[in-house]
Amino acid sequence: MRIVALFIALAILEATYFLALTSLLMLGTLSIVHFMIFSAIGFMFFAITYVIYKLLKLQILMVKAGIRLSSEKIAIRNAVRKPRKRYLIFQVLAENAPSKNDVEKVFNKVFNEFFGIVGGGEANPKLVLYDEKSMRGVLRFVHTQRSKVLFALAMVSEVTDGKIGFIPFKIAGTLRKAKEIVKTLALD
Amino acid sequence: MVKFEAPVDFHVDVGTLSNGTKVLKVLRKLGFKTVVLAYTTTDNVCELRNLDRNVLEECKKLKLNAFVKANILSENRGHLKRCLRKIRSKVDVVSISPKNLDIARFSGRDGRVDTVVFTYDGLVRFYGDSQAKLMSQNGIALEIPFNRLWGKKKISYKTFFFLKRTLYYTVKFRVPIIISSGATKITEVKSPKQLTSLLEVLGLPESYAKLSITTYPLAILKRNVHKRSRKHVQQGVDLA
Repeated sequence: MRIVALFIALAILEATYFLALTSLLMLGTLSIVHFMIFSAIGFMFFAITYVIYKLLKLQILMVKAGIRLSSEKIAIRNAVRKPRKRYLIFQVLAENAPSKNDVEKVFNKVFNEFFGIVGGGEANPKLVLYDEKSMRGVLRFVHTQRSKVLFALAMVSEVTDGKIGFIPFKIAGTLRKAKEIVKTLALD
Repeated sequence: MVKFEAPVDFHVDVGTLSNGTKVLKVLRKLGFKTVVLAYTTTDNVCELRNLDRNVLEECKKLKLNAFVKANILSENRGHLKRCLRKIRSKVDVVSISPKNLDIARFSGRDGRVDTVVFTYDGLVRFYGDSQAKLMSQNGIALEIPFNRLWGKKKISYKTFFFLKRTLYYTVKFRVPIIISSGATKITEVKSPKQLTSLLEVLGLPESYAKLSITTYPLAILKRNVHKRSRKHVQQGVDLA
């Protein structure tokens, strides 16, 4: 918009220049030869202005297209990112220690309720390890879907009316490391 | 010397908290460094409460910075004004849970209020563009307690629609948003990442979501501690 405004302003300036030249010719203060020379210079300037305006417009269009292409590239790269595994170490808080089946059932129910089949396919959550005594476990999921898994864990206590609560401790990159953390971590 | 360290759990209900010390331990284990212990009162009773000595000692032991918050349930403007006059200088944070539109608008306008607490019903009924604009102009934060947000109704797609709408107004008018746990039991305690996951699931980037448990609550605490200090005379006037 600014370039268009600049071009219009320059065009008006050049039109005024031509008007002044014509009026000087009609008044007789300017000879025909001089008039021709000055009007040729005026035309030249107008042509240069027009070419620059077109070039600038083209460049702006190219930059915009470039930005769109790069953002699309980033979006595609995010969509086809190689799914990597992450292991979340959590602690279950409940009055009676729930079994592995119960924990899996509750988590799957909550996750399906909030994110459905598509979300489940993206995150692919699975209870890998659960110790009933210490009520600690390890949950595997895809690294890009961390927030979904954490949100589902937070919603467990809402869905079960505060009977069961999940507290996430840490996220590890390998199962071996996760097992080590499970041994060392404790709530008290 | 008061320390201001993030992350902050801006609402842990001490009034209804069963085995409080254990909850504090869990909060520390989850990584929280500052806790705002809240108690709820109505505007006509306007109760003033100090922190329990045991709780304070436990916080010191765990190296948790503790602050007191009064959460006022209000439905009458006159009572609320009287209550604010009485309570403002005695507690660190004042938040209001409005029961009607008049109170919601008043709390969005009054400089003595720090946060307006909205549950799901409140968000649907009172939180719109005009409320967001008011709160943004006066620097009042929107507080969403995670556990009290859902209420007793069944969570449906509409819940998330209204949450998304809330987020739209919040971002559009740049209202500071605070996510707190609102925990009353040990099973309701949430980790900092669980709190921010609510905003992330709704579509906010992680860096923005983090502000809701770090920068925004700390800014309120800093401002109020400064206001309550002896150096503060009036807004913009401080002793050297």
